[in-house]
Amino acid sequence: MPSEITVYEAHQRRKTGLFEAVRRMTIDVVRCRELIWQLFKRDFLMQYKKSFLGVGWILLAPLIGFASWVFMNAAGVLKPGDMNFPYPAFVLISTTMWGVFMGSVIAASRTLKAGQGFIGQVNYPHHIMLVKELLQAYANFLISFVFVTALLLCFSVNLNALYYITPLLVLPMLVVAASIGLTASIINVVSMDVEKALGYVLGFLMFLTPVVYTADNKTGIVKTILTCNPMTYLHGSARDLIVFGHTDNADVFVCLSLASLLLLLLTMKWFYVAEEKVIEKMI
Amino acid sequence: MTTKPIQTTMKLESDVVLRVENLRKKFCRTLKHSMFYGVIDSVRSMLGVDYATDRLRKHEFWALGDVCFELRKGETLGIIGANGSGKSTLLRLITGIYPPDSGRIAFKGRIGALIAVGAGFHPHMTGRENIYLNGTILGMTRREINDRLEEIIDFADIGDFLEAPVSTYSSGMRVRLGFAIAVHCEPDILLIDEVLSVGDLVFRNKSMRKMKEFREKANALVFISHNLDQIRVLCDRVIIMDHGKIVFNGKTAEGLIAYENMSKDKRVAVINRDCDAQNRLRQRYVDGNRLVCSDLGILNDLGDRTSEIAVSEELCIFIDFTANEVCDEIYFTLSVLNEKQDIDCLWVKSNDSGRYCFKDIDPGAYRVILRFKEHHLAPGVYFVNYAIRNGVTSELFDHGFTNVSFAVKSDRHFERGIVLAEDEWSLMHRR
Repeated sequence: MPSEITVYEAHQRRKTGLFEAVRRMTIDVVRCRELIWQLFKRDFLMQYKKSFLGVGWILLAPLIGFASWVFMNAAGVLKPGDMNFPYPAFVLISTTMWGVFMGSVIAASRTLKAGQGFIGQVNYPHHIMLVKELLQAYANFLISFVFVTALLLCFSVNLNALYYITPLLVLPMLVVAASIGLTASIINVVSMDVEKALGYVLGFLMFLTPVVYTADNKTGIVKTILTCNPMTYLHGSARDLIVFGHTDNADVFVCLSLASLLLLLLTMKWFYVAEEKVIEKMI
Repeated sequence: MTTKPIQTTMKLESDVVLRVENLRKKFCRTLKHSMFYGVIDSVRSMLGVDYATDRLRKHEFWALGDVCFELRKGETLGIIGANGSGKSTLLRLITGIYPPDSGRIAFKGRIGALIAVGAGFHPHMTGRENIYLNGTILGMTRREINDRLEEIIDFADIGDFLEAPVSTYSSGMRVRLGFAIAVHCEPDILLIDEVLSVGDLVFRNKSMRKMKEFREKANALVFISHNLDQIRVLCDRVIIMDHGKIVFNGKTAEGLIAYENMSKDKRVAVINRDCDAQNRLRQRYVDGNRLVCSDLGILNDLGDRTSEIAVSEELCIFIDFTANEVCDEIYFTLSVLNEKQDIDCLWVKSNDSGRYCFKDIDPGAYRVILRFKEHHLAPGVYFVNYAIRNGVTSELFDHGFTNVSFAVKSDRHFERGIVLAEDEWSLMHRR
């Protein structure tokens, strides 16, 4: 019988500091990597198993999006302004990048609910589900990124070298998404309102962010909103780098990326303390 | 796969493997309040505001209150109690699934819980894939699963279905596979919540043998079950829980008797609750108002109404009735029925063989008392029915099925049956 003594006490996590909480959560993630992998395999591979299209579903969304933007562009419905890049390709890249943000927020908001089948039977570190969910969202993004790249190359779109580091440039958005989703996952346990509202809010946020248009030459209230919206820089600057090879807001992008890391650390600490207050409401 | 334990300087005596100290856990009865408190508590946590959790708020209740016990190395502890008494909550707290609201749990080594089998199974994955998935969820490493894979497959005994998706399994096969994985996790302390009854007879026997094997490895076992026979066979000690509190902590034999007596008390209390003289009598067939029963019950040695007697005590039943006209002769029939009220355990007629003929009854209130010096009723819960008839014409005055129940208690464990008889057994070689 090992002599290591484990103690469970009331409010055990309340006194835990920021770095200690993050350290413990990181240790748990490393220790439970096999469980994360098994659950990732289960949920990622099995989601398309009982489907004729299979992984094709991941490709279908950008394909339909691409077709609709091509159609609207040809019909002259869209007036995106002057840009030295084919507009449908611009939208395709931009929405794919927005997709990883949106997908990651929704995935992270399932951190606690992802273990619903066994959360009442087994004691496991619940935060590891955040990693599993984000991996899943990121894997979906990588598949659609490869497909979009192949599509753009087929249409002879001129891609600059920075385009190929897109998977790295979306990481700050992923970090912000993790923070928002982690917060939502706690509130989701208590009330379903956040889960329902999240889809609407993210859809609306897309139009407040220069995803299908550029931030150039905007005036008045639109300009104010775009200037105040951090996603303008986290998404827009990254997208400009990828598409045009340069961005005017590189410094803001770097600052916000660092700030998003700090936000994630704070959210992790809050999740660590708050989840033990709500976990029994899951069961 | 437990959360990373928080180490403290707390010490446990060398042979103590689990200690539970003043453990309390509260829950909320209403969904709206539960949601509200959830939001409040999470916001408080976010702001780092200190608040006491050992006080009850509106609609909250203690699911566990000041639970204390110890488990020693090699010991098997049974936890019994009615539904809602807090057994599963206690197990979830020990496992770390729920955090305590106050108090402390300390244990040595790794705890494994068998609360529900097949946690996290994916229906589209094969049995083999699910072994790896479920094994990892339960805290096994890939190497441990590889090492025990053959044993798990043998134990589950699902044959060629191993490579088929779990969705094609029967419910029995699914629980067998889940159970097989769970029992091969080999934690230092195993907690089992009512899952030994899965599968067919052969599998249940195999599970029981596995439990015995586990016990012999000198690990500690905590076992929750409503099957008192399993508790009697497996456990050295039992805890009885009632309304979130421990009401008994001692030897298994004594515990089982205490639990049986407690259960009988509760059943009788439920039956007798809100049961005044008026509604004690139900389904009555009364011929007018000539002679009617007004009350019926059991009396103790002191002549007071009671709802329990010992197996060795005499059974004394009274019937109060009112005669509203003169009757030449009356007689009574009285039956004692088992708890399901489908067997007459005792049935007597007062004027059998002309023994007790009650003649010349004038109008007025009367009480008739029936005594069984030796009733031979086995421990259990019983009901009383009655009939009052005219001794000359056999007309029925009043006949009623009653809500009057009583418990027969014993200091000996008695599993089933309705008659208590002294038994003597002997074993010999046959020529």
